[in-house]
Amino acid sequence: MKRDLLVLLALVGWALALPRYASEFVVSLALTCLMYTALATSWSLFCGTTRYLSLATAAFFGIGAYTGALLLQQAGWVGTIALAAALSALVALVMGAAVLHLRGTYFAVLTFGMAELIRHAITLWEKRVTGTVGRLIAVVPEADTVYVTVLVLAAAAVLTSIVVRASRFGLAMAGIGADEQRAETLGVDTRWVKIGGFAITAAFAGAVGAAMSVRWTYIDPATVFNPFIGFQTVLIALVGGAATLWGPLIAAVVFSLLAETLRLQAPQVYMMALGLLLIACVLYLPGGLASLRWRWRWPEWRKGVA
Amino acid sequence: MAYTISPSMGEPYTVSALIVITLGGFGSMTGSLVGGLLLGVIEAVGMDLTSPSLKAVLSYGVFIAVLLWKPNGLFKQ
Repeated sequence: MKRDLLVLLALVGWALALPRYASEFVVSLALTCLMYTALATSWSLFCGTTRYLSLATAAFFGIGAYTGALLLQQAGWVGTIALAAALSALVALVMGAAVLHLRGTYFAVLTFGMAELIRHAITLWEKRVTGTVGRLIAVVPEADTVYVTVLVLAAAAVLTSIVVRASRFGLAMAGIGADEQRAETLGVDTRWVKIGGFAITAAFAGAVGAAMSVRWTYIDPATVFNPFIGFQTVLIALVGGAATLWGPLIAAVVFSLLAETLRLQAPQVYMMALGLLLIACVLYLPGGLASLRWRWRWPEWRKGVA
Repeated sequence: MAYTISPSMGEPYTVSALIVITLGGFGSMTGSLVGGLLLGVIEAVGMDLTSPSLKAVLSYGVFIAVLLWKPNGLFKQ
């Protein structure tokens, strides 16, 4: 745990210094890395340890983005981010209470269905009631503010992961992932542990959504509730190793680099590379990218990491 | 009716199929058949009675309501 904290501190320090000497392109690339780090790390915090595969990340991201667009002028920057996180967590509490007794594919498909329902409901609401399609964000904070905010969120996600892993709550979640009935027999209140974990994941996704929405200046349900955000988060976490701490971070960096270098020149190659990478990882590397190094060199580390 | 052919033309149907299978219950042939019919009819009739922009809300709403009522699908043994 101490080693993980030190690594995190070093990474944050390095990322904090980046805008001072790197070009604008590198900084925007780093912002994408940080966004996916926050999303994938917070996703695997709950979904990786308990093995409840949630596809609702896009819904929480979108809720956060809309909160940001609607409240930025009244609530201020920090207030908006906090409100977005709180609102997403609230939606996750309700959603989790309704669907977290389902397991496996049913849970995955149902969370996807709920995300889509929220997206279409908001589209309909905008069409019928407010008569708008999308929102313009007029007052935008400085690029540096956005970068630092997303950096703080990503660091907070990793920090929460480190702390939760060592806590009773984290052990309860790992127990649910290993064998839910046994965990329940041993006295874990599985219902509340699951709902709580789900809400933490959602809070991070909502906060990231609010922070990133100002980058676009124009948002509509099709962009911020895009199911691809949810799929990509799951993909990154799985490729990196959803059960590990650093796997999602490593994969988020790999994916963002791949995306930026390939998407512009050859979008088809990018999608094909994504698909091949996922297939290869599922078939030959079930523990994810993070398991590569620990399996080869430091077998004794696996205890602390896996 | 004419359709254009493209590599991504199957994507919407993949999602619909997954929803129908879940609705009916995994591993149940009758479930898929009834689930598909149910969703299709509800979508079409609902759109006729209300408005076409409600289509997606309607189908996802029915799907979620059924799974909340019967968590393992309609025809899971």
